Amino acid sequence: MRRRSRQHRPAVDGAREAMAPRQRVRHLALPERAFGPVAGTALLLFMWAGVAHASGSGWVQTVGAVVAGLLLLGLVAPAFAAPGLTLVCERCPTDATAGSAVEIDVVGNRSMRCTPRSLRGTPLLLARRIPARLVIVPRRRGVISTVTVRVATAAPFGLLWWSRDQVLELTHPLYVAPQPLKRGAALRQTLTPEEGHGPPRPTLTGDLRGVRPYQHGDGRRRVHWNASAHTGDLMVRESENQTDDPIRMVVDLPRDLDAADRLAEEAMGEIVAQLSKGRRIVLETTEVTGRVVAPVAERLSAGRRLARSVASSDAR
Amino acid sequence: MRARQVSVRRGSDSVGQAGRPGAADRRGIGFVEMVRRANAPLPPEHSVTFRIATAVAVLTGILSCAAVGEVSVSSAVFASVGTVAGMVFSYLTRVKPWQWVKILLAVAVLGIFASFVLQILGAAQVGQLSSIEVPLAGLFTWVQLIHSFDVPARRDLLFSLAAAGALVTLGAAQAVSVGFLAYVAVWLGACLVGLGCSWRSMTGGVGPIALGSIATTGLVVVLAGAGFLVLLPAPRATQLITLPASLTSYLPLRDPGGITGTGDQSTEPAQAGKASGATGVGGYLGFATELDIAVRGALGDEVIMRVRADRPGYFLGMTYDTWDGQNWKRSPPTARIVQLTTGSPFDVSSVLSSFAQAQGQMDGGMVPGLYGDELGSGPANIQTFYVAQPIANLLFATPDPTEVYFPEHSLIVGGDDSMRSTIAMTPGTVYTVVSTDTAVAPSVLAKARPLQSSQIPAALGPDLELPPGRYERVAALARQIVTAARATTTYEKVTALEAWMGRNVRYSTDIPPLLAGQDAVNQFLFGSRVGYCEQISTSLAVMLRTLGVPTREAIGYVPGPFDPLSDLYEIQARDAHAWVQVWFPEVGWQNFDPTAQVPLAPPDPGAVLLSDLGHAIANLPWAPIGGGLGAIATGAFVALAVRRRRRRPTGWVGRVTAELERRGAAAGLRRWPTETLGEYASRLGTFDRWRAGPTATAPLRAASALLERAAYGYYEPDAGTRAFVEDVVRGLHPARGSRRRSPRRRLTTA
Repeated sequence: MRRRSRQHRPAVDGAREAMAPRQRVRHLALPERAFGPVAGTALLLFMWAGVAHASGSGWVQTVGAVVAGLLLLGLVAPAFAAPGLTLVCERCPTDATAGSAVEIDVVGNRSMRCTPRSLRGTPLLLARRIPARLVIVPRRRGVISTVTVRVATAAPFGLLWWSRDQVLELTHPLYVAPQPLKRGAALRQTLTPEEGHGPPRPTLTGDLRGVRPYQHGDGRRRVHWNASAHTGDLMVRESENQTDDPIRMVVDLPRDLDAADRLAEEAMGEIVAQLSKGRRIVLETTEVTGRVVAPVAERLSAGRRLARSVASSDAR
Repeated sequence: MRARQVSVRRGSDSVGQAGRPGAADRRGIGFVEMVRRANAPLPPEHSVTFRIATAVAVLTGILSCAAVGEVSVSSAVFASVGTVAGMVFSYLTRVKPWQWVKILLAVAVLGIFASFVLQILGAAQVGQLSSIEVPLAGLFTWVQLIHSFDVPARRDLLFSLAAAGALVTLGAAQAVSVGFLAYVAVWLGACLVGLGCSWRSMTGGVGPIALGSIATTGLVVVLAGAGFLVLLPAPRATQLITLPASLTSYLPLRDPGGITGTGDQSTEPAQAGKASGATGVGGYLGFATELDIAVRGALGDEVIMRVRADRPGYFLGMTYDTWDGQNWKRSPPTARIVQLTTGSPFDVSSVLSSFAQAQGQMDGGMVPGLYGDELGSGPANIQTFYVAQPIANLLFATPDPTEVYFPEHSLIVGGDDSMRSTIAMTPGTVYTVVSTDTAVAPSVLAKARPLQSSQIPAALGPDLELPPGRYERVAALARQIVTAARATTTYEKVTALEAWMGRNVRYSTDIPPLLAGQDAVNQFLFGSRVGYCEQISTSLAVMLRTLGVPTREAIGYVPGPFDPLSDLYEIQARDAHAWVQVWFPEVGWQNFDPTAQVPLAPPDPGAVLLSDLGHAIANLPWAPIGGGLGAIATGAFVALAVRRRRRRPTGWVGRVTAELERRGAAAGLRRWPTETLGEYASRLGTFDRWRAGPTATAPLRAASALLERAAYGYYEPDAGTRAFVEDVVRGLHPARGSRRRSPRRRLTTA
């Protein structure tokens, strides 16, 4: 039964990964803000050599040579250490919401600093082989399987940072649901972002017209247990106004990422609003595997569906 | 999983691309706000190792300054104790530093800085950096002491490390001994540990510091430092801003005009060395009124002086002009002296010029018409002598000294070209001599015309005299040699005689003693022809005198081994030497050394360093070292075995837990240090590709719960329970081909 259908205008293509505009992955280790340390080192050694030559003391030059060795090692050693930096994802959540922070448990083979590059996030200093939490903020909805991070090291003295990019593979895909478009205070009162479950549904309204056999998508509360026991099949109540019939929502995303995100957010907001009212929703989207039509009973599954959805083939 | 959240901190941590939050924040803030942020409290540093390493570095800096006399011993002890106390205080108050202590420390620093300014106002001289070295060392020491009471954060400790480097450098400016290497080594080790701790603290590392990585880092630093030392040009004395001169003690001499130094008494008048009598300072029997060439003391390896010189050469002490067949003596006319009382620097060139004019030389020893433009003075050769042993009151120098920097108001210049102090030369005395080293090339000397007797001034009479009736055979030999060599000029005669001696004379210090009444030269030339520098040079001098060439015996030191670390020549007792000075008209006295070819060119520090390193390695006592290394290896092995034994799981719970961890690690799921057994078992349960399938993982929770109860719950499992748990653990076999690579292997091979 299809009582109400909201169909967004289809688009050509959709987002697959919840990534920012793609950036080039730099595998070559390069120094960061090298002018200050290098110039400071050169100035210090120049002054040291000046004192050595002014005093004529070979020991001053010897100490200066040792200091030069220290500084040289501090400047250059990270260049040799940076290619060996490896960050591994130990654990990551399954679901997230666009624009909200996600914590990923990572561990590095050496002490390093890692900064998310493909996504927004907070730089993280982590010690060798000690798990730490990397915070990333996906900007778009989609499915994330890798995160490009910039790993950097200044070992052994912390004098100069050398960095390169690394593609961090997540332990499993991260479904980034669109941020639901806000539809007023009712949404905030009824839903919390973490739970994804709606409040108890309201009771049925309208006059009872009769019972009918159970159909896919009927709510559990509509089951008429007496009739079911009597007939031996699962029977549900039918009301006059039929307010609890599932809403069929067809979401065809456009190819433009921003437009697709906006549309997904609207759809998500609508789904959340309808779910909070106790309505049942059958969502129709296009995924990589093809057209998917299935009910969504909660916010989490709706978010995953919208995260997986791509532009439909018949979209303009 | 209990993951540690390590957020990016402000301050020095926040460097790099996005790790520098202050970079964006600084835009649009005022200067006051920037200062306020810069002085905002930093996170406290909790690493005790870091703090100890910093304290060691600071103490090393203070003690190194004390070792070279820049800081008094009492001050060094007080500052050291205070620094340790300050470090302890800082550690205890690191979380919440006491603000009123900061105020007190600030006031104290201002007071010390004011004291420093007052000191340098009274003592500093323009262009004399050495005049502020001692106040500067004091300033650094006291500031370090005060600062040690307020080092709660990592940045403060790093500042202390850097200041310790400055202190060590101040000490190095006055260091002349290779023993200073110990201070540099300790300071470097402390710096490496401190910087390593700083990096570990910066990244939130825990656990003991990796000594292996510290050792590797230190090795790389030492190699890089050695490379810098080899490649960079060594500092030369001519580039000095100040010419050092200092005293550690003031001991007036009984006979200011004479030569002192007998035995270990540098204040006593020098006595001529006798085989059975007192020997001169440093074991050399010269540097006295007489030189008996038949007696040679036992000259050792002890360092007499250290010299920094642009051009090493023959460091002349004094000369003798009268020869009696066994002893060289100083004749009365040449023993006249001039006492300069002008204070440092002493202009000795005018006195020596007057002596030279009396000997028939022109002023400055240069006659343009005679030798053309080929004769001239070279660049100034600045030599700084650091006295290490009590020596004679002679000031050594290369030829033609012009200025002497000596910390005394008077200086004596003798007609024998010797310079003598009026106080004892005790260890620690430092003086500097500037010489011109008049460069007379052999080609120039070869142009000198044959010497006529009429050209020889009367003042050089003693330099031609010989004992009558002794040297007819010597004269005949000399004439035979120069005739065979067709030598006509003075230079040709000298080189001919030197060449003959090189072919017919052997050097040895092990010679039989000269019998009473024997002539040393006749015995040498017509006897064994084996001797040492005094006999060889005396024989040359006598032969030249028989040919009518004015000659005199010179004694002094040759440069000893070069220490590339301190850039000093270490003159040892065995470097005492005797050579010949030959008089050339219009030029004056020129050095000739018939004994041996002494390396005079400035050595390459890198080559010397590598050579010394090779010799040092070759001469190491390998047997004790091997034994020591073996003992260390054995001890390490035993310690490792004991450690493993201690770590071996005890009891049923420990064994089963270890087995569970081993099987989990084999599947690629290591137990994290922060993970409880139950959490670990839950994580193992998520690994669904065990060989036995879900049946292997399903009872894991129950088994882990039983293990935790048995470990912590005063629960003693019965045999059946134990068998159940062991079966569960033994049933964990990863399916073939599904074994995950362990995180460590992934990390290191990715």
